[in-house]
Amino acid sequence: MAHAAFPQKVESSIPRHNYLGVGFGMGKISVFDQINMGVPYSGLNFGTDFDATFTFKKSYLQISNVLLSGNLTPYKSESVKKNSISNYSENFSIAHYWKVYSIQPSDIYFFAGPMLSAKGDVRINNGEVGNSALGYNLAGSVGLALKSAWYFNVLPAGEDQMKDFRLEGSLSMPLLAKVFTPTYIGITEKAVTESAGIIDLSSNYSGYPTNYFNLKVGLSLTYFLPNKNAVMLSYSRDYLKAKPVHHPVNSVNQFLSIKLLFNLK
Amino acid sequence: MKNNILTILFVSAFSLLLTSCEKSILERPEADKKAVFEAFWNGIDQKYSYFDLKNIDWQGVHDHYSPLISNSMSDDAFFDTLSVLVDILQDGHSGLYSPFNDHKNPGFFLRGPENFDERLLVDSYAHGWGNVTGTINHSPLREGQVAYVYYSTFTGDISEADLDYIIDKYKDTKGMIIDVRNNTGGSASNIFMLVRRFIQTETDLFNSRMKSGSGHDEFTGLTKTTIKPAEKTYKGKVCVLTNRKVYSAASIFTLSMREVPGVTIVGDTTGGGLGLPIGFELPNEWQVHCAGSQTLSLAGENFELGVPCDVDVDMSEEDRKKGIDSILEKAIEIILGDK
Repeated sequence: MAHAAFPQKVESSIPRHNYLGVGFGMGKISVFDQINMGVPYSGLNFGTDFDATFTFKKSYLQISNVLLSGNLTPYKSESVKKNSISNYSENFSIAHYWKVYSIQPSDIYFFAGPMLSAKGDVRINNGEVGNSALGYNLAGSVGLALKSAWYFNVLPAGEDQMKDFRLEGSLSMPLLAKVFTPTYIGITEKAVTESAGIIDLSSNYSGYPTNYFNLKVGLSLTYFLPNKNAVMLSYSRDYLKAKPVHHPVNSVNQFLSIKLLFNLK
Repeated sequence: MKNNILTILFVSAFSLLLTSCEKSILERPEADKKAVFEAFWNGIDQKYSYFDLKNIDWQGVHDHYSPLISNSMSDDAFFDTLSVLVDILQDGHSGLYSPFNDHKNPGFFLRGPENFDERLLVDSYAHGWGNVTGTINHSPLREGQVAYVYYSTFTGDISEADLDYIIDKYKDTKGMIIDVRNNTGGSASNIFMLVRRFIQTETDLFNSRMKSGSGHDEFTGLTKTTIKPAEKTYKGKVCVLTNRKVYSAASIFTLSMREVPGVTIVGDTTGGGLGLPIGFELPNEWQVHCAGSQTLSLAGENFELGVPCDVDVDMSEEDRKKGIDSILEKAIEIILGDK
């Protein structure tokens, strides 16, 4: 029997969102970075997918990180000796989702909230472009994240009457960003000084959706195992358009991953 | 029913979002020869840093060569035509790279006599290049009074341990000769590792500036390069030997050593090449190099066409026949002389 002097444990109204997810995946990167590319490049990259979600009474926090690397080659190249670019992509975000609407008894939920994101794509041209072989777009941003979740049964419901599948859709976009891109000629101003660095952080601009557009949409299917852990198959598409004064970058990253979700409760 | 419709709408909207966007990115630009020529010409026009110094009429080059380009010409003929434009820059840092041929412009060392004979050095001075520490050949000369160091390339890293060894080994000599003849450059970081061994206090070396926009005269402000001495330094006299084949990082090294007290540059003017090479790719996937920065002396001089010497000496044929390296002998004379 609970005593009034001790607060009752408050149950979250967000079902099944306390998980640590660890997985791996494959990304198809397509990019046209005009600092060191004369044509668009594309290729498969591989990497890790990590996320963690923690519920509160009417909201949940999601921390996620995807790291990819691999080689890209010119799209539809007919050349006998193809150029290549090494690509590294890092995406880290923290989003706080509030439940804004739900449809019952269909078990459909809609969430929205702010998102902090750090995104970096680095491309190293392995050809003959010398000192300006490095192309990159790095950005720290604040934005908006939207998500929906639909819980449904495929298998006969167990004793706990919990649904065994969840289909989620997500959409996120930075609204304010600080974007770092290479200098006009692609090498740092201090390239011939003793303290030369390969990335010049003074070459940056303030990003808004008009000059830094990064829409990420995702779809995931989660199967909840009887032991309360889960397996998630997810697909996302990350569309980026960075428009500094010189050398714009356009890219699309399609990422397919499989994750094991470990129940944290 | 209402919920099912909502779900279908939601999934359909998602599918639309997922299938859009990529096509716009993966559209290749025009890559016919006319378009590639324009991309090549524009890339050089906007990035090359020495049009004014070399008095090159790049617009005139466009007007002359553009009508000669046609899609019916072979790739090889097209490559040869662009190579002619590369040569017009008269710059060792310019080049064109295709899957079937590379064209560089190493003509910088043809502007003067060779002034280097490795066989003569090995036979008469270096005793078979007996001592090699890292990438540095060295040998004592004149009964150990003079240290002779031959540094053939700035490519590959020098280690501090190697430099410590050389400084220790020759610390009691009257002077050190650093021969960088025929050194066509490499990594800029090696410049500072070497120069730090010959300064005793913080020293300004040179100024540099980068292209910052498409105009021929659009540059960043000057950035001064200043370095601090290493823990272990050489305190005797120093001569640096140069010839026309000293290029790029080796030329910047020469420019830097001009600012070091007690250093004499001996030999022939270097080949220059003080602008850092940068590159870009053409719509047909060929790649291009050109200089994209300028390095100036502290006094503001632009030695892109060659860093001059303090003491000009050419190797004479008469000396060569006797097994004498006139430039090296002059350096020995400076070190062992009273001055």
